[in-house]
Amino acid sequence: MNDSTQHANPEQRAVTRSRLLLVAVVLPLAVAVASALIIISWIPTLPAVIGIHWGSEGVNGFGSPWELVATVLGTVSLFSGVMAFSFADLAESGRPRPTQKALAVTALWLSVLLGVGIAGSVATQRGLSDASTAPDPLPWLLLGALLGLVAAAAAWFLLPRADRTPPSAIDVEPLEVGPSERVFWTGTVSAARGVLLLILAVFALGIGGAVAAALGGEEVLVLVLLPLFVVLALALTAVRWRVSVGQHGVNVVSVAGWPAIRIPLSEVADVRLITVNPVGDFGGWGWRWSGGRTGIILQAGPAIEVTRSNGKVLVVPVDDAETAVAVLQVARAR
Amino acid sequence: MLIRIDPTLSTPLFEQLAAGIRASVIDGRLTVGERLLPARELAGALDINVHTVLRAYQILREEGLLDMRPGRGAIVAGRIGQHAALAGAIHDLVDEAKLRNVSESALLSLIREAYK
Repeated sequence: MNDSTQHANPEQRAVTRSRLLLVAVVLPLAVAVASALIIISWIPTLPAVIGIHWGSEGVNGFGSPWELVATVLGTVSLFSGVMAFSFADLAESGRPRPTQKALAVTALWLSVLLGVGIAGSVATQRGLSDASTAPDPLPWLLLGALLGLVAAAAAWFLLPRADRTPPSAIDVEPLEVGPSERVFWTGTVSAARGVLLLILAVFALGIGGAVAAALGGEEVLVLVLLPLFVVLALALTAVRWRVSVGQHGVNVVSVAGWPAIRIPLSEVADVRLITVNPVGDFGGWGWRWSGGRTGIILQAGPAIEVTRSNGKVLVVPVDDAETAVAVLQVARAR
Repeated sequence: MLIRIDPTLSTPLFEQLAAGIRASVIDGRLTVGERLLPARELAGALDINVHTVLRAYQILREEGLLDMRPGRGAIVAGRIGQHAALAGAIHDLVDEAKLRNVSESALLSLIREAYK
């Protein structure tokens, strides 16, 4: 992003940024802190050990009320903290990108869901002598989800209208190619080591949680672990891709051979060089969809943007994307 | 990796292909340890014979630019540091030749002489 776009529309930019921060960080943290304080104020009236986890047979997990306080504060601050970083790169008009708006209201929704749901599950245990009789907190979670939706809807209207204009193209120096010359470009793109570690960490947590639940006597092990391994295998096939462009069109193929996206040259309606901000444009990394645009997003920066004749768009950030776009433009001009 | 080949040129296709891969290694489009496209796929994309591709890979292997491992295909070998230095020297050499109006064929024959 160059200076002229960074400094365009400073007033709109400031309004957008402050409202995004209000919706995604300030309000969620306020809800979480309020919920935590209310739970803490109830501690004298609660049993020393309260129900914190429910199964089909009622309470099956016990703990200190402080665990729930930590859950509310920890989850909300983590989510809001990540959100705060995704608002750095606004649309050129100074308005939020659609994904940024969606993420901001999701942060608010999550905080109300957890704040109301968890505080509610504690409220019904006040005055109990034995936490094993604690009532199911499902109604409170549903109420939290509903109130969260109302808050998210209100926040949606508070935020400036999302900017859906596609990113502007970067000029590409054309390749000079003789009439009988054949051109072909190929490159690979891999997930950063940090992303890979994150994927493994999430699955380690999931599998650890499932094993712990199984040891605790829940009969969910196979049901939980099997899908986890399937998803893990899928995630790992998608961490390294080969991109090839030439007379054949565009191929984006996982190095495992599957999944693969192949667009024949006859279906390529337009090809441009753009710049991608993973969180702002696609809400994160991996195989992404956002408003008719598919992204194979493993890194930020210059990207090939292919518009198909059916109007669908494929975006792939890759090193040397400029050459790839130039090659495809030559192939199309034939 | 950027490959440009022209069947109407007098230079054989495998040499054009080898030159393209060599240039991609030298300018950093291909990095050490990177695996090249399987010969059959590259042949299909460029609409040339697979043996042409294998011959180009073989030349680059003999130059020490590629490692060929059974079942793993062709991998960029870790010796490109020296080639990058050479590429710089060649650029200087060509600039110098242009400055003195020495033609490409004259420069090539000078290099050939120097090798003897």
